[in-house]
Amino acid sequence: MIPWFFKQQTIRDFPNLSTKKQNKRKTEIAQRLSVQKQILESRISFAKESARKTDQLLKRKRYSKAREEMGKFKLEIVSSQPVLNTYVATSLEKQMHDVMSIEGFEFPDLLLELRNDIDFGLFAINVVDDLDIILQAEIDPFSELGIDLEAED
Amino acid sequence: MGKVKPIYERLEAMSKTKLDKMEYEHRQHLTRFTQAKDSKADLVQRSDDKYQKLVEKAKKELQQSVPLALGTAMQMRQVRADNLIAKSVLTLLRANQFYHRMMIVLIQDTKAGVEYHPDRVKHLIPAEFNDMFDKSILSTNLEGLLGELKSELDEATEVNQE
Repeated sequence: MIPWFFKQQTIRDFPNLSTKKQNKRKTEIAQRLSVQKQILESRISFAKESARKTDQLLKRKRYSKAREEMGKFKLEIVSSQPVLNTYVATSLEKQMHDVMSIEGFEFPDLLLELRNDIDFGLFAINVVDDLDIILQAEIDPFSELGIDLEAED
Repeated sequence: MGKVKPIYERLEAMSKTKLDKMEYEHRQHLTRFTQAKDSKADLVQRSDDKYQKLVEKAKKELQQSVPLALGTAMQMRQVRADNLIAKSVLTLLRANQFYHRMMIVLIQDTKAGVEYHPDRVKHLIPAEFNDMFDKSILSTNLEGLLGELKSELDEATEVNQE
């Protein structure tokens, strides 16, 4: 079976576009990815800073403040999840376009006709649908993580 | 709509000049995809090494401070995501490399008058394509890592409550 990612019409059409149009699309994706990466790294950086502060506060036996700081860390974990999902989807899209730009690129249809058990990893996953499922499940993201915030307050 | 002829039959119908030209083009493409694949394989290796270093760092931190290890675990998530993306792209590059290599073999066979066998193409496919991934992103990168973080968070919360 052809992986979901390769079946999208925008992906299928890309090799037939003019170089100018291909470059335009690649630039758009690269810009989108750059913003997402910046946000993701910023959240990771905030989380690391919260973790570092928690550690220092615990060493100074300031437990109440340490709990507050740990709460911030938890928030960064949960809030970074949708950004990570989107970042993964866009990065995959960007790299797919980079590969399609190499002269001689062929979709692996023939290969898949001959053998259908080749695993194309993330390309086989419907990132958009799965992202929706994950986001729906994260209406109460702390419970997904198994953390009962109310009990901790 | 008529059935598309198998590739071998289409090659048999071509002139030698056309086959020579086609072989030359596939050789050029093979070189491009081999270079791209090697470059991506290097990237995957560097990413594996980076992830392993972070794991070691987190393990050391865990012995001294759970919060510090949690901070490193956050960084590990992004590295792992990048690693899975690179491995997926590597498969696509390998598929293209294989396609051009296979075409060269088939063109040469046609020129040499090798008798067509329907299973011949199938046997050219290396078994290594099967073992690229054993888990999907949802079971490793997302849910798996969140699960690991959760148990570590539970421990950290216990420390805070003491």
